Amino acid sequence: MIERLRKFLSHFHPRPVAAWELLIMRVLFALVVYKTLPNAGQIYDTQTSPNGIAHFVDLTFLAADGVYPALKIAMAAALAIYASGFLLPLVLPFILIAHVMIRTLFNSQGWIHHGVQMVSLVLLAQTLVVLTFLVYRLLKKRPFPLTGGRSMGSYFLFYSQMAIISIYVVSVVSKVDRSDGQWFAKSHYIGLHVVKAERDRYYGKLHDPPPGDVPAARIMLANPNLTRLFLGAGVLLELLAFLALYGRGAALAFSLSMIVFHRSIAALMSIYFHFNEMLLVIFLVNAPYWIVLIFRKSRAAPPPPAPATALDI
Amino acid sequence: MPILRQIAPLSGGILIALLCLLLKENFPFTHYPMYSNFEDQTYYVWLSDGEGEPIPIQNTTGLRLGRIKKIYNTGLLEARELAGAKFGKKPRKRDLSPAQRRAPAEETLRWIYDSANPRAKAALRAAAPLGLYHVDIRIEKNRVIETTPLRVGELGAEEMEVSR
Repeated sequence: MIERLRKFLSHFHPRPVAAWELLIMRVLFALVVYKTLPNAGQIYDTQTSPNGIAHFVDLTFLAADGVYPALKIAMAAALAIYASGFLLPLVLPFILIAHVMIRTLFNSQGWIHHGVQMVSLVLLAQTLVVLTFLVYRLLKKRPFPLTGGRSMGSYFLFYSQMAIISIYVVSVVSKVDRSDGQWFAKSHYIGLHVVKAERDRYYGKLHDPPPGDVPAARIMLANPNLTRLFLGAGVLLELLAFLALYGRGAALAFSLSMIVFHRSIAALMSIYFHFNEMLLVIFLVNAPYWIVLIFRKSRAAPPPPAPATALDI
Repeated sequence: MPILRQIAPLSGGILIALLCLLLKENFPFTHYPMYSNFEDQTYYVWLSDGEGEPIPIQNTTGLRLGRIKKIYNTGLLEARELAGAKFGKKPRKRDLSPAQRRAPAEETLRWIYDSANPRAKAALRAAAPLGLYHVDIRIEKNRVIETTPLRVGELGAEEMEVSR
């Protein structure tokens, strides 16, 4: 039994990763980080409800003339260097600190936006990895010991994946905790929130048909057990998210399932997690790896048999 | 312990998860509280122009009503705290009086105006006085019941001029 468990756990380790995979991931992630930077109009000159480090630092200096545009240019330059893979112990802490400051000010206006925490947490995980390697080298006067074909990139990817996955597990714990264990029993009430989302959509744009019956909500409220089954499947997926670290295949299966779940919620309730989906695609789907694998396998396969000729017959 | 050594690589994820759960809503940490507890009642808000007609606030300012509701809701929670401190018992949000809802509603309208770009500000001034409507929505016998929209606050053109 112990031996089986040991064998199972042996899969949950950083694994070798090609330099070109990491390059693609860094380029895509740099673009995502840049995309999460708000436009200048959303850099507020007040922090009415301080959040995170805004409790200790007045971040409204970001709204002073010229500060944010200059910071955005510096971020773009740092992200370009990050994407190239050079000077990571220097540029990653800068990107992380700047990102946290900017998004903290954004979240200090009396409401919390939950769309980009995952991006900052992946930056945090990557920063900790590169700094650990640097500190080890400085203290021990030798490189961090790497075995089994692993590189720093292996840890870089593994901990990025773990930052993503841990958020899904946290979400399950919150559901159990905040609902006093009643989340599953009350989950069919989501029908009410689907109606609310429909009303928000209508009154926000006045484009859709005027408010009336919402068939999806009606079906959910009329079929509570079916609704519980659907939402329960999503929660089970979040709970078992850590299995995505078992291997590349598991990461692909989990991330694709999670993207489908995010899309379903978006269709029903207009709640979008675009950046979470992007990170799933970059660090867990990792499409370039599978494309190259399929390409290599198809080239290595034996040539198809020659078509039959008259002589063969 | 070989097993502990095997779990060690997962410690980073466990640490992030623990920090999220302990620090809750402190960016970049979050415990993802939204939709962690479905209730059988909630509410939504919408904005009106001087004629009391809905205005497409998302088209005008880029702000989604969900975000506007969060600002208003923060004010309602503060109003609850104030009422609790004054009367000894915190009322439910839906039991707050129109007078108790007015300050959060007007603060919300002021925030919308102050955070708008110059073009949106001009559109909001033209539509003034802006009204904020609150609609309670609940489940009764598996059916959704909505209350009549209640005008909880307004912001006139003159007040916009003196906005921060």
